[in-house]
Amino acid sequence: MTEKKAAVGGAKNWLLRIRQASTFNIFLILLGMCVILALLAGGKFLSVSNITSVVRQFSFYAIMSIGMVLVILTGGIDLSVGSVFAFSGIITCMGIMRWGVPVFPAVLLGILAGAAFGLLNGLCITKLQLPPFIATLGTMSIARGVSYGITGGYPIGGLPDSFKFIGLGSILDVPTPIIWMVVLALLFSVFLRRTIRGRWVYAIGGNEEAARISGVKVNQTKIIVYVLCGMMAAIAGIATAARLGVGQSTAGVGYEMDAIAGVIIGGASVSGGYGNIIGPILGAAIMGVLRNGLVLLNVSAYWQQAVIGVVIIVAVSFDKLQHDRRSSLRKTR
Amino acid sequence: MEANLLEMRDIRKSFPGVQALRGVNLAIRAGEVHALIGENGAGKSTLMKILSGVHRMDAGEIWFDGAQADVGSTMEATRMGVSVIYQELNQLPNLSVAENLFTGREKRRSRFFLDQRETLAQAARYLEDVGLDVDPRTLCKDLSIAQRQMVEIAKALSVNARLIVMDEPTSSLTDREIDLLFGLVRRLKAQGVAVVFISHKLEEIFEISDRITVLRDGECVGTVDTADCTEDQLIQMMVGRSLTALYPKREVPLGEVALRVEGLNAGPSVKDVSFYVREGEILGFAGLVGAGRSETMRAVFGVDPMESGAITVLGKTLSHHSPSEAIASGIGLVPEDRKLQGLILGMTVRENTTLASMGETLVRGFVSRRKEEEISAGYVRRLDIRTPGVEQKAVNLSGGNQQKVVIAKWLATGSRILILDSPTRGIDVGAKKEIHELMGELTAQGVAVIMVSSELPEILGMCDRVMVMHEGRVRGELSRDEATQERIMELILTTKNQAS
Amino acid sequence: MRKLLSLVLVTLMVLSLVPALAQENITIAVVPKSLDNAIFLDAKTAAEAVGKELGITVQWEGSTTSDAAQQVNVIESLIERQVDGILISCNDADALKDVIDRAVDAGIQVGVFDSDSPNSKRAFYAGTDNYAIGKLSAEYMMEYLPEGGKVAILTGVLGAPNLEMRITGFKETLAAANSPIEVLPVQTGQDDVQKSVEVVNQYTAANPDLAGWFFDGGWPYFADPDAMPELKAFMEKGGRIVSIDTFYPMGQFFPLGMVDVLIGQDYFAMGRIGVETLYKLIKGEEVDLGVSDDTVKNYIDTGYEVVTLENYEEVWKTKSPW
Repeated sequence: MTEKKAAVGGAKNWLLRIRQASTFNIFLILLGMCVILALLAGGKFLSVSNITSVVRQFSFYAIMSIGMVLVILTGGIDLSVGSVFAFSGIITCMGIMRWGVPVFPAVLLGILAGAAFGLLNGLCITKLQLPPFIATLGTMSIARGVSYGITGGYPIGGLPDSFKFIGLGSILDVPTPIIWMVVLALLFSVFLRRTIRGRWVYAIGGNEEAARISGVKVNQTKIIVYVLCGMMAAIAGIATAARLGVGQSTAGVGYEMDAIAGVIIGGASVSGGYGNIIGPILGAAIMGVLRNGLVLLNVSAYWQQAVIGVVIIVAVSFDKLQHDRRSSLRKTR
Repeated sequence: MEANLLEMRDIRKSFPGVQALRGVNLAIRAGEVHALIGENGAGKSTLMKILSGVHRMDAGEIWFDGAQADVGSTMEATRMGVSVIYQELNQLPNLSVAENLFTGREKRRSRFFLDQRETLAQAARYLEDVGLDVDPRTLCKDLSIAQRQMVEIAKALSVNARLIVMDEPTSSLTDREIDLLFGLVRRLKAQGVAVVFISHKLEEIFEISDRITVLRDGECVGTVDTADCTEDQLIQMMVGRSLTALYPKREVPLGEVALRVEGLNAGPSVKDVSFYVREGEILGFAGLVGAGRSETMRAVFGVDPMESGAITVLGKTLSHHSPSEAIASGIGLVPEDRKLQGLILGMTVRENTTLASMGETLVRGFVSRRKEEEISAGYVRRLDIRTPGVEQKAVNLSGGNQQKVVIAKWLATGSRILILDSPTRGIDVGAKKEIHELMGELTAQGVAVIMVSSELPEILGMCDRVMVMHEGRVRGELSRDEATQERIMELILTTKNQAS
Repeated sequence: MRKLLSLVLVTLMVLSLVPALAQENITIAVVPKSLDNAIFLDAKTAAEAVGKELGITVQWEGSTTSDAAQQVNVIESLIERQVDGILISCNDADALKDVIDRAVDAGIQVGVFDSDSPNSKRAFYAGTDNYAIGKLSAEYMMEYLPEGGKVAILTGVLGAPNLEMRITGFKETLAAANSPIEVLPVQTGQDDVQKSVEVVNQYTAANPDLAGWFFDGGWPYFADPDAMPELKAFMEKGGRIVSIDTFYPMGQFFPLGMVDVLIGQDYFAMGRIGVETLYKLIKGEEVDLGVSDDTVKNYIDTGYEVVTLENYEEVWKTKSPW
């Protein structure tokens, strides 16, 4: 009896929580865009193959954005993800093609390479006290430069099918990158919501000094966060190399901006302390659907950039207005 | 009976879930200093924000100078003749005094060009009016807080304000600066300007005000002539009950030495500091602002690096020198600035309460929200934290309740030694008393308490022993019986040689 | 201490001169837009081969990214080092004008390949006529689609002069011939392989009546054929593709039937002709500096190569694998 009551209360609570969730508005924006596109482009947009293609496309960005949101939650930024994306893809491809490493260890090697750059970022920021913007600007250049250096600029192709499966295959008709995205999102959601370290990430972004005084291991947590961000960039980079069947030193140029845009559109605060995992995924989805819509509606490339800019500003201000309204309501006096 | 300059009648205002004002009446006469007091959350700020056009009232009337006024925006309030000087001065620190005076209504020579000379000349005139002797070209960031307040008052005069609201103007001023401010208030009064003075400090209110209006829970308790009432009456009006003893000191048998600090050196403001505190004892740290007391506490807690010295907690010497080690050994620090150091304002009461004791919230290795809710709700009840729920963000709580959340955080870690740095600063009388009672309760449980305070009555009222610091050094140690205001000031000011 | 330091410095300087002395004392630096761009690799191979033939030093120098300011720095250091000749592909015509002029004033012979700086004092420009390859692409498209149909264009970074010239050549030729071909709005992959692949896949799927694609650069063909099932289906349905560029990895698409014709800039020719011409200028020999007209002076057309399924195996034999 009481159990049942609690369950009903729980369900109600759950619904309320969804509606109050910071990401609800962003979800509405995404839904609105999909409705508009469905009306304008009809079956072209709603076809299973198109939807699959869109989700697969944005899942790479979403994976990077998940890493990025951790960093942004601590009040930091990581500009190196685009370069680490390329570097890790190359390490894995070279491992397979040049050094004779089997696929699975080669993938681990690539992720490790991303983690190494994350560690370098974290050490520069905590031990050398460099501002994250500067430190990661430096590693961005290093990772890109090393990528050119070890490949001489040549792409690495001819990869085995078992590797291409990571980015090109599907399991039960679901493309593999989407599966990676969902699995990683769940893992990191649990990390942020249900672990001490996850709470610390928010605390550091909310007020670093107060967090330190509360016993939060600030430097250690920051290093972990940059390592995780590097690893996520690496996973996205490896999956992309697998999807295209080629590792290239020029991959991922400017992707840091896509990753950051996903996080911001997803409603996280740039100054840290506020945001979640589902936000950046929705943010990346909005960008992906938008790009797809522009292609489907046959908008000229020369105008696409402008339209993307307008939609970003409209979406973020809609979310911000809703957010302000809610928080002013919540404020009592 | 003089005519009222301002009448606010039956003002009502509600925010979702809270009735902030339930029909408040307020009448201000021209040329009077009218104190507005009440606990935090009583509705003072909301009332003043309605007067200054920040909030719209739900119902009620505002009459100003005999005419009904509709205050729809801050601009309209200014035009009407109402200026508010907020606690957090909103000035542009990198602009000059003169530029700040005329921000938004710059003196122009033509449509596009500023008239520098006219700006400076007028600025100089208004600065003279308020008796502030600085060059109008000085940058605002180079002024003291008191001087910046004067600039704000000059700004109010420059828009011909007839009613100036001062929101806790003395909270960050020294005694001398307060005297200067009060001189200025009296001069404004003589010129026929009405001043609404919001403060928690009753002595000041008795010194400066003509009449006092007390608010409680969004209602007007009453307006009294200052000359006709006593401090006890006021407190009773504010809290709705009489506070029998202002400082509820409990007598507790002292136990073992809980914390011992020897020869601590940390930076320029902590030199060779040694002290100890026993279980069940309240050790006070008295001194002027900047004496090195907060710095000492930060170094003990491992927030700031220490150069030399030894810190022993319950017989165990600390070695890592980090907050996590301090916490693990049983120390808790309620820091000086609760908003910047104590709380994560964007986090909820629940998250703030459990932040230092996350290990307690784990179920099968994962943070359990239910457990967190249990823990935090327990402290909300125990410390009577006034909040709609544990999911309220800390930023939305009043100062006293915020401070209680910081204390709850350390109770949750099971601290055996609690360092309270200025725990009651900027907190209303009721919450202050609750915190004092809590200190007594904790000592009864054998917790050792260290309290840094700049309010001597608080130190004298609460502490078993007092360390007096000045210029980074311990100047002396007084027992409860020895300690008097005079003895402490003597140690600070006259003893040049080391006291033992 | 200081003595030791200067000794070390002198030794280093002497050592750095040794290779130059050994090889007839002529050094030509070749500066691509950036070191990361694989399209310059053919030019590098050709330039280095010519250097070996002529017995001179050819140095491959450049910035890591396509950035005009960084390229200026590279040229400045080359002036400092007193090289004899510079062959450069300019990231920005105007931004590099000054530093090219300074190099020429310092007595260095400067030639430009691939991407010109027409108002500078450079001696010649060896490169592709981008309008002409756009025109040729249109001619192929008209041949493939005599009945007309919808043709989509994929481009890279918007506003890049060479790409814009190709699009203009393509469109103007179709218009001049009154072709029934309808050109759809231009789509972009922003010079990024992944983005190009996604755009091509989605656009092809979304436009079932599409008859042809004109890629004004070969980005999609840098990916694995498996990455573009939509394109494969498109070709199987009778779609036609004309693409610019003839880089090594693109060859695999011919046997798969995923491309009809590739029109490539001849980077081998650019590297070979560029270095040879510079060598003759340095030696003061008679040299052909190409043609001049109202728009460009001393332009050496390096031509282009056209590859279809018929001749692809033959052409690819001459290319070195990436």
